[in-house]
Parts: sequence; C-alpha cells; structure tokens
Amino acid sequence: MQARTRWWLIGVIALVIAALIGVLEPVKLRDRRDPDTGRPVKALKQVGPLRFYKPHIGLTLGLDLRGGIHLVLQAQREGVFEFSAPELSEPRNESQQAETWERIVNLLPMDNIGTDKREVDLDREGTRIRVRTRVRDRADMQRQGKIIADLLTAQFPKIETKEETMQSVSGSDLTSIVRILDNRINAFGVAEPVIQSQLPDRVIVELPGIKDPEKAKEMIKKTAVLQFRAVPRKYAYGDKGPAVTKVEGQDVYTFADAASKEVPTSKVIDESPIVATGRDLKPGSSRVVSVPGQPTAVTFSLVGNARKDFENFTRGNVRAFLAVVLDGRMISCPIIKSTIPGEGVIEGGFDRPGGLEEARDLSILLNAGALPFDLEYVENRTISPELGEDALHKSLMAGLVGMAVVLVFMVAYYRLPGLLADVALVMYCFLLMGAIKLVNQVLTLPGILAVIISIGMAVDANIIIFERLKEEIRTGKTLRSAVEAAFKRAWTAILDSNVCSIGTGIVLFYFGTGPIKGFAVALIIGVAVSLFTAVTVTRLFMNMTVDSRLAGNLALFGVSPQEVQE
Amino acid sequence: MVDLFRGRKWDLVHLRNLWFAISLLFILPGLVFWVTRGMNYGIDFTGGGLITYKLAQPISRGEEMTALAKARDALKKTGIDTRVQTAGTSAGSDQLLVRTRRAEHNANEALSQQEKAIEGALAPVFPGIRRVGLDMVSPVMSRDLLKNAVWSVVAGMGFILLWVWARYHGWQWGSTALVALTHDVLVLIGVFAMTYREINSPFVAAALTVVGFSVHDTIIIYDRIRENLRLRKGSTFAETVNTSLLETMARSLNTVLTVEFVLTAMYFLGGASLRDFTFAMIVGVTVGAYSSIFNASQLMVVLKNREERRVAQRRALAGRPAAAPAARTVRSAGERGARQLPQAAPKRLSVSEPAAEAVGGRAAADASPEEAEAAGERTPRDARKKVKAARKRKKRF
Repeated sequence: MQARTRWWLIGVIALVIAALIGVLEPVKLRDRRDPDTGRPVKALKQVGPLRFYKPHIGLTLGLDLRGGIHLVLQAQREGVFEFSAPELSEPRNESQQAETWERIVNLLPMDNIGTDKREVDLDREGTRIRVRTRVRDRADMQRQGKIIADLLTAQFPKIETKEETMQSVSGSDLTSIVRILDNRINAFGVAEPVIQSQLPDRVIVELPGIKDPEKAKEMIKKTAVLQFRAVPRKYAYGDKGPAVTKVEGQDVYTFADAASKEVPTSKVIDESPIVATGRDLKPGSSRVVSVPGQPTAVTFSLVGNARKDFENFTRGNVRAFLAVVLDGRMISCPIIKSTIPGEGVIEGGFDRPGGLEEARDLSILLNAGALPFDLEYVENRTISPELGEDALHKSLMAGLVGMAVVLVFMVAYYRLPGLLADVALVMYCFLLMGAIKLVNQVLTLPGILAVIISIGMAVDANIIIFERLKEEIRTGKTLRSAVEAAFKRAWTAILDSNVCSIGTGIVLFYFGTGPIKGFAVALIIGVAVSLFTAVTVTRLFMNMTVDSRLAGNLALFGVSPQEVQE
Repeated sequence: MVDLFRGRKWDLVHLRNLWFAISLLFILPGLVFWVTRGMNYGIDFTGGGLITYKLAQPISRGEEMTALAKARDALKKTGIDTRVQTAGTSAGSDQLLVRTRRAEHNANEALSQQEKAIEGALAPVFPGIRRVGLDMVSPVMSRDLLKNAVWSVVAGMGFILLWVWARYHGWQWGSTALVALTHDVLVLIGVFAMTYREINSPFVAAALTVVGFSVHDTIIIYDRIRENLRLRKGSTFAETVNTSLLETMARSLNTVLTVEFVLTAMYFLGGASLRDFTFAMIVGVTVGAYSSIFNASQLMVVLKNREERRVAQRRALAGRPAAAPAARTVRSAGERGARQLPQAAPKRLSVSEPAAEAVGGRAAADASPEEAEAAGERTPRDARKKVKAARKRKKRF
C-alpha cells in the first residue's frame, strides 16, 4: 500500500468514527439531556471530564415525527382609504355627526367590499372619511378601494379619493413580533420551540410535543391590542373600585354609575380615554416581582414619549383607576397610587391562592401586548405523535429493506467493485447522519424519505464508474490504468448530474416550507456526501485492490478474459 | 451477471417516431383527464381544512363504501360542506380524512368551530374515534404555496437548462434535456390526474426531485455522445447517438434500478403518509429513464438533422458545393478570421463528415479526448469554441 493511500484510509475511517460518535453520542463532555424532558441523563461511567452514555440516535426529530403544531401567522395588512366629502361640510352637532357616521357605515357592508374588518372614521369637521379595511394584498386593496369609492359616490356624488395606502408590518416589527412570541412561548415551557420570521409579514411557529394545541394557539395569537385606559371618575374613583368576580377562571370587572346601577364593562371601556397602548410598552419589560413580606407585583415600563405623557397623566389622576384592556377585555383595573414616571408596578390581589399564576399571566400578556399588529393564522398543522411514530418505524424498516436490496444488487452485478461500493455505501449512511447532525438539521418524515432515496442514488456514481471500468478493462489496459481512466472519464458525467440534483435541491429549499425544507436539506447533504463516498472512498478502496493479489482475477470485475482486446 | 446490452445492434434512433408516439400516448390521456375531470388538489393549494381521525376499529376493504356513506350522512346533518375519505394500509383503513371547504376569512377560527361539530357528528357512527391531525391552510397561504410551487418547478428546470447548455456548449443539448424533463413532469401530472391522487406540496417536491434525478440519465448519455463524437464512433450523428445509447444502456437502467429498489420498499413498507410521494417518485423516475433514452437523445438527432438540411439548403442557394470538406472550412476559420465562419460553423457541428479529418487525422480510436485536446488548437472542441465566438460576433454586426 502506498503511503498516500494509507493516510487517506486513516482519514476516512477517522471521519466515519467521528460521525458515529457525533450521532450516537456515547461519549460527551457535558451532561446529556433528554430531548423531551430536558432533564440530564445519567452517565454509565465517568472518566475525568468524559462521560460515557448508552448510545442513542441523537438526531432531532421534526414535528411530523414527534407530534406538535406547525403554525404560520401573518400580520394583517390594512388598506387605508381617505375621501374628502364636501357635502358633509356643514356644521353639525354630535348626534348629527353620529348619524352621518352610521349612514356611512351602513353604506359600506363588509360583504360588498369583500373584507372581514372595516372601520370608518369621520373627522370633527365631517369633511373627511377614512375607511380602514383588512386586505390580502395590493391588488385586493385596489379592488376594495374602487368598490368603496363607488359605494360612497352613489350617495355623495362629489366625493373624492384623497389617499389610498396599504399598511403592513416592517422588518423590525416582524423581529419584535418574533421576540414577543418567543417570550410568550417560552412562558409555557415548550421544549425546543421554533419561531422564525418569514419576510415580509409572516411568522412560523413550531411547538413540538405540545399537549393542548388549542390553548397554545389561543395564547399565541391572543394579544393584538393592549391599551391602558383611564376609567372615568363617575364609574370608579378613590375607594369606589370595580367589583371583581371570577367567571370561568377569568377576572370580570363590573362597574356601577353614580346611582349604583351596574354599567356594562364594554361601555366603561368605550368611555375611558386611552392613555397608553401596547406599542408604548417596552417589549419584555414586564416581570413578576415576588419578595417575601411584600405584595407580589407585576412591573411594566414604557418607552419614548409615552413615559412623559404617562407621568403627566398619573400626576393629575392619583386615586383614579387605570383599566388594562386587552383585545377589548379588561384584564386588570388597578388604582393609581402615585405619579408613575414611565416605570410602574401593578400590585395587590396577587397574594391570594393562585395569585402568583395570575400575576405571571398578566405579565406575559403585558409583554405580549407590545405586539403591534393583528395576527392571523394562515396555516396550521397539528400532528399527533402517534401518526409520526408509526411512520418513523415503517420508513426506517423500508429504508433498511431497500438498502439491503441495493447492497445485494451491487455485489451481484458488479462483483468485487460492487462489494467495495457497498462498504462505501454503509459508510455513507453514517457520514450522512453525521452531516445532518452537524448542520443541526431537524429530521422530518420527508427528510427520512430523502435519506432513503439518496441511498439509492448514492451508488449511481459507482455504477457509472464501474460500467466505465468494464469498458476500459476490455480495451486491454492494465487494471491500474483502467481504474485510473474509469474514474477520470466518469467524473464529468457524475459531476454534471449531481450538480443538477443539488441545484434542484436548493430550489426546493428556497421555495419550500416546513417539512419540504427538511426534505431539500437532507437531499442536498445526501448528494454532497455521496459524491465523497462514491467517488473518493470507492476510489481509495479500488486503489487498494489494484495493489493486492485480487487484481489478477478479471472475473471479479465482471469481465471475462476473452472479452479483452489485445 | 451478464451484460444484457453489450454487443446488441438495435437501431433505436431509426424508430424515434415510435418512441415519440409512445410518449404522447402516455401524456395525452392524462391531459384529457386533467381538462375534463380536473385535479385533486390538496388543501395546500386550495385552502381549507383537513382533519385526520384514527379509528378504533379498522374498516376492511369491503365495508369501506358503507362506512363512508354513513360518515357522509352524519356529516350532512352538521350542515358543513365536507369531503370524506379513508386511508390506511392495503389490508384496511384505520384513518378517516375529513376535508372542509375554505373559509375566506379567519379560516382557523372557522375550522376549530367546524371541527367540534364534525367530531360530534362522527363519534356516534365510529365509536372510539380520535383526532390525530388537524391541518388548516388559509386562502392567502394557499395562493402563496401554489405560486411558490409553480416557481420552484420553473426555477429548477431553468437551472438544468442553463447548466446543460453551458456545459455542453450548445442550446440543443440544454433544450432537448428540458423537453425530456417537461415530458416527465407532464406524464407525472397525467398519471396523478388519471388516478386522482392528491396534488400538494410534497407532490411538487417529488416532481422536482424527479426532474433533478431524471437529468442524470440524460447527462450520462449526452456525455457519451459528446465523447463518441470526438472519437468518431459512427459515421453520422444519428449513428453516433445510437452507439452511445447502446453503450450506456446498462448504466442508465442500473442507476434507475437502484433508486427504484429503495422506492419500492418505501412504497410497500413505508406507511400511508408518504405513499403518494413515493408513488410520484416511482412514476417519475421510470418515465425519466424512458425520456432520457427515447426522447432527449432522439430529439437531438431530429434537431441535428434539421440543421444539416438547412445548412445544405443555404449552401445550395449560395451556389457552394453542399459537400464541401468540413475539414478545410474549419481550419480556415482559425486562419482567415471570423467573417467567413457562419456558413461553416453549423456544418462542423453536424458531424456528417468524419470529424477525423477536421483534426488532421489525430482522432484515431485509441486517442482519448484528453489527449486529443492536448494536441492543440485543431481539436473539434477548440474549433467549436471559435465557431461560437464567431457566431457571437456575427450577431453583433
């Protein structure tokens, strides 16, 4: 054996061993943790810093195999249409104003516009109408704008479109949405959640192994609009606070007017002016402070101009009540105790049993309240773990059977080179798993399929080379030069075809979503690794055989001696 | 094992119209189904909900129809527009799939409400039913997914077209490979239209993988054709192609076979969830092998023949002898400059005369392409490069 060949051999074997250790994790420096529970696993033996464990396949399984939910949320886009309406310009009192407003609202039924959300604003002078609707995209907005203009023109012929804009989230908004979602999801203690932004306005959330998907889904999306509102003094001031009752585990606040008559909470909310909104809250700033001997408190802090405004407001309204409203529901209604210079605490009522839980919930919701846009689920896939487990076992079985057939076929058809290719193929499997682990790719069901398909494809290069080898041997070359020539000549075709496979893999990765991305990554890695094993490793083995005594027997290479041209 | 294809003297190229006819025979019925009955698009592309239930007791094949009818009756009472289907192994079905129509807005909320009603309706009919999967795709998302699917197929095929074109220095190679790939995708779509299997994102992934894999065979053959053109095996282009096809037949088939082995194992043993995906791959890979051998290379012959005829006509019009020795024209190309080249160029490419003369008798059978290249400027490849450069120059004028 030549020195170079020997070094190559050592390198390849070392690589395979490294891949095996990486995948099976039998030896680790740090504690190995159970991927599902997160608890450390007990080591079999410890030698210095090395800990020895029972081997297991340490690849992260995707949602489709572990069960869980895959959600795609989209920040809602809004179309804002402004019209000037000269007909409405005469002075009017409030009730007339309200009447006009109602008339305009009735003019614009949502079904006619083709949207599920529309708000109509009329400015004080009554000359401008602003309509906000939910739109799907720019084309949809233009379509809606035209319909709205037509509907209004029918009633007010002089109406004129002033502005038409689409509002959507910016990149930094999306980043903050991701951060907030991340924050909130961590709060329910899901192991290994995935939260990814997908430009321009989508967020992908993957929660593996979650027990109650409905609740999680609700919690994730729940918060859209958080407001701090000042409750008018006629409903609550000083000692006269709202009554708190529990309905289905949620606090419900009820107010009474001067005549002690109960007032609907929604009416109170409507009449309370907004002091600050979720946008003014510093994301992630709300925490639960629980110190023995002091009441449990929930902190919050504001940013920007809101700090000053809030301070001024609270200075003038000590002993008034502040309603914390989330999506139209009052989640808390504390009394203002002192001037709040931008950083405040909500306390009291959290020290009863279950209060800590409530405090934590409030803090999560406050943090989440900084979520600036409406989110809607555009894709939701809930997978139970049992389907995945079943599929995993069956595909692994199928993969083993398929591989066995390939191994037998290669030996039967290509004899000795086939056997060498088989060894390379087994190495390929280990290296492939190692590579998947190395790039930290989550293994999905389509990913496993890609791995199995790539086993079938990995020997392609070998087939091309070995067919060529037969031809070269038949021309009467020595075995050594035949091997040399076969690898050299086959290389262009192998390279071109594999580049095409990798190219389509990259396209698939770029355009695909979820499990398809997993498929694409596994395919790309598979093709790349197979190039190494099928060409480099097999070549190494072939060079070793050429030097050995086996080289004399051409039948081992699938060529009968009489076929050889002299 | 014997080499089945060694030493055979089949004339595959001569029968090319037959091969094209067979291809059409496979594509047309599928397209007819596509147009008349339409495709079974999954919720990825239509939007809507898909609820998967696991049955406590599997339904045997025979009882499936009655069970489905019962399920439909139960669901009709809920007033929700649904489609029901069973899934499972060949022995029996243990899953019930319920599809709901898409809601234009708040699709998620709509589905979770419907889901409760549906489960309530099905529970008495199938005791012990359990929900194991719930998928929802909103219309906004489905439009994007469909757009991405179409773009990914276009981008994937475009990439291959450009790569083959660039690597083989000729649009004919790239475009015929592309036609073969389009053929594969069309047959695949047709088979899915006929069997009414679901077209969804995994189908698109399968189609793209097929495209990426099917081109392997085409490249193996093209690589050999290119080599044989240099080595002057076969006296006409058609003959060269035929020789190349026969020489590469074993490897073309074996590379496909090994992939088919694993796919077949996956199809029969791999469980229900990926069966359609695997089916698509099996069909695509098989068709891909056919199209590489019987479409791509044969189309090359058609293109070359046409080119040859056109060149001959042009020559006749220009009053030049049609059978001007290729060797001389090519050689003069390098020496006399680019202006005269355009007439000569296509003739060189068509290789209807022995190319050996073009390289001054260097291309004896034993000379490998590398050696031939090393021989210097006058190799076909260099000549071709010059021809190309000259063509470009001509375009600019």
